[in-house]
Amino acid sequence: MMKDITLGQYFPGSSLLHRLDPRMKLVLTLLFIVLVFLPQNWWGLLAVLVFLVLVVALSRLPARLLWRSVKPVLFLVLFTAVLNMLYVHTGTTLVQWGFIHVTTGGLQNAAFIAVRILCLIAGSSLLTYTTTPTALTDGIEQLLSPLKWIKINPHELAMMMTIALRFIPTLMEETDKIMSAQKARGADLESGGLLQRVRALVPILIPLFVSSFRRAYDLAMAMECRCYQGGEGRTRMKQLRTAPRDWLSLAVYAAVAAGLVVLNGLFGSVLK
Amino acid sequence: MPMLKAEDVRFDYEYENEAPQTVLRGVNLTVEKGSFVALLGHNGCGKSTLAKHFNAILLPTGGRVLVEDLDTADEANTYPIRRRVGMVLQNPDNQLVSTIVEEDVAFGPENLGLPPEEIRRRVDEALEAVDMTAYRDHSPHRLSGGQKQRIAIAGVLAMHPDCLLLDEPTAMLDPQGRQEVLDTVCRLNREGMTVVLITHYMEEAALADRVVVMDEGVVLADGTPHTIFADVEKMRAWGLDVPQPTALCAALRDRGIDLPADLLTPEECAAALMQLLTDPNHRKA
Amino acid sequence: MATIVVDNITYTYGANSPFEKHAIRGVSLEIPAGQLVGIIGHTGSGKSTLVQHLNGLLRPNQGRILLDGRDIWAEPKKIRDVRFRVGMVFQYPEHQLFEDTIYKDIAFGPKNMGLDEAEIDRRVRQAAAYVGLDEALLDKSPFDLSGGEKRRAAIAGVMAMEPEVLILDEPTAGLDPRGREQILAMVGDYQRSRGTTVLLVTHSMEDVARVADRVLVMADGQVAMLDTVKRVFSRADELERIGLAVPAVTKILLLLRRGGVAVDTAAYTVEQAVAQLLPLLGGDGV
Repeated sequence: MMKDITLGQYFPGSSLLHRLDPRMKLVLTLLFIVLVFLPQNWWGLLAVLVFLVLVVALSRLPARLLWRSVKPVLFLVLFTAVLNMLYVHTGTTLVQWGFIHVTTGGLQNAAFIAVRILCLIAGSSLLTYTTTPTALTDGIEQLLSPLKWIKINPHELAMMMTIALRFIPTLMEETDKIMSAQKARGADLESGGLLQRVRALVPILIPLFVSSFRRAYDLAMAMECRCYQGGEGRTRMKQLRTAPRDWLSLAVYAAVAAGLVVLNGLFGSVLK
Repeated sequence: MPMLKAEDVRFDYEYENEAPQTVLRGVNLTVEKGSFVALLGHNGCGKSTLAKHFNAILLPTGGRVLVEDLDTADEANTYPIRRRVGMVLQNPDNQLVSTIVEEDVAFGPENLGLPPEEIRRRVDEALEAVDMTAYRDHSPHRLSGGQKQRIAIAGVLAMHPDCLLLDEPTAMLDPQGRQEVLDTVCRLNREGMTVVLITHYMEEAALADRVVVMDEGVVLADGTPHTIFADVEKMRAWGLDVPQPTALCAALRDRGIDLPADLLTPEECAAALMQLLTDPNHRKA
Repeated sequence: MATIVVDNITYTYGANSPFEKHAIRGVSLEIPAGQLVGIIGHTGSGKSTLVQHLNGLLRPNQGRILLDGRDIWAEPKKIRDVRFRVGMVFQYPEHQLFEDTIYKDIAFGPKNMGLDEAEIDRRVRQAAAYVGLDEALLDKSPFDLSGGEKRRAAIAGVMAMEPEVLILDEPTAGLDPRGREQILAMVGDYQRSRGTTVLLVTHSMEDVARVADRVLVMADGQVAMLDTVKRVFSRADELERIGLAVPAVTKILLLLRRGGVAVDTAAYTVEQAVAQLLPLLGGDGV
């Protein structure tokens, strides 16, 4: 049932990661991406991996969640790895058969990149697992607040995200209902060629659009009734506050980054 | 003292390339502070349009609307009026903004620019008032219709209004949800809130202390539920109904039984019948 | 005319998920052909889940549904034919209108059945007549109609498939008294003139009392009662215990009986209550 779809991927908890300020978590996630791309050798990558394992342990999330976020991109990872294997021709040749030319350097490169991408996905998925969509929206709104100076309104952006999150489950349910109703009138959604299937969607999409407009109209009026006048003069019930743990985390990330640079200097690069 | 006042209010819906459609044709209505008014009339009679004039969502094309002493036509009054007169709409799904109950309730006070501690206090208080404190961290889409509608009421209460306008708040709810919403509304009224309830359910109108019937953009009748529903024929002619107990009494009166015309609830009706049945002097009018 | 037999069906939403919920459990019942059956129960009592099984929109986890003695899931590929025989009008059906004219929208079902133009035309016009839609409205866009007209047009869309069983889920929800009255009268007339089996899912006891022959009461995913309207309302005490509000006149009689007056609570319309009370009160026309 579509009804059971969960909002975002938030996994409730009260770990250190859950309690970090969402703004800081956004910054740390960006920093983590930098961390993943810093290492030039296996020692550095190993350090990143160990760091990631530590962070996951701190988040107290079940490991299967990370597997769930990594699974959809496995094919992409494999594809990138194979390309790297075939196009990097350093070191000793292992296989040479037609256009297939695999070398030790190629293999090393492929493995390195695969691990790097997996770390990247797993690390950044921690953000959405430990932060509620609303907190994330608030964090984005406040981080982007300097954009006001170039006439982009971060409040409106955040409001749109909130409303989208609020209405996704409602519209899912609605889609479900309309589909049932049209099926009851004999709509055939499951068979036929591509064109036929696209055409079969019309009886579902049109009512869905109409109802979305009706909802949008109602919502706009309800917001006006509740004195909404845009972001101007608006306050928030929940204030975001950074705590010492936020700055401490930032310091740890910075230290890891520095460590990686040192490792690069010590062991050089294995990448071609 | 009047809370709301409509003075000869006219309203035309303007269309592009089409003749304007007159919806209100001179409505005069005063709602006293602390009263509970039910607004009846079949679809298209103008009652929702009138309600939207009371919180400055619509402005009259003729006449004027006063909220306490504020004229809705004055733009400077718009937000003070909307704070005083809160509105709850029919579809509970379409008026909740946030993915978390308490943040939704906070939406109104946040728009008023109140300090965070004050918002927190009001949200707690409003959730308590609709008996939804236990659901503060829930996501609205998992709640029942009646619960969603109570959250919508809490969202309005958190702005500390003096008056609640409810536009068919129970039309999409099941009997249990309807009861929850009505209990909440009645309690708020007892605590001093002015209530204007638009409804198609006559039993709900019977709870009010005043019933106003509209048709074709004018007020047709205005009185206590007992006097309004007593005229069964007229109500039916207006495309409305009367509560079943009232209809039963009317049918019995037609057959010569001496029953009052203004009984609204099964309890009132049963009590009157009981009296007739046990008191031999009352037999045969 | 088709007889529906529900044989011990169970349906679970979100099986093996944290939201697992038995919607209906071990439901067995038989709905004889040609009757108008009111289905009542709380939200979550399983009444909507049950009716969605009858036209194969949901497939039971256990048990069978027999339409004229034949299991509707005997050939899953032909489930669409079952949907043509058992028509279903959902809640707020006007939200499903999608064509640019009412005519085309009513014709959607018959067209899916693969009927020829002439037959489709006949059915569209007849269905429009059943729901009391003026011919002049057929060429209009659904969005130019009033709320009540839209609802009737949507119901006509299902009637035009000429199903042997017609299921209506809360057809009067959200309408004003006049609109409710029109829909109920229309459903009653349709049932009498065609002899179709009609199932009316509703929260309104008054609606059931007005038009139904039989009442099915669902509670906690199971059948609580299935009997004639008269016999079901004579168990008014039990209905109140399930938490279902009986019609106001039944309630009055119930109160009188509790007060020691010898009345039968099986009356559920104003006329029936008058017939019960007049002799006791000694009024005219006795």
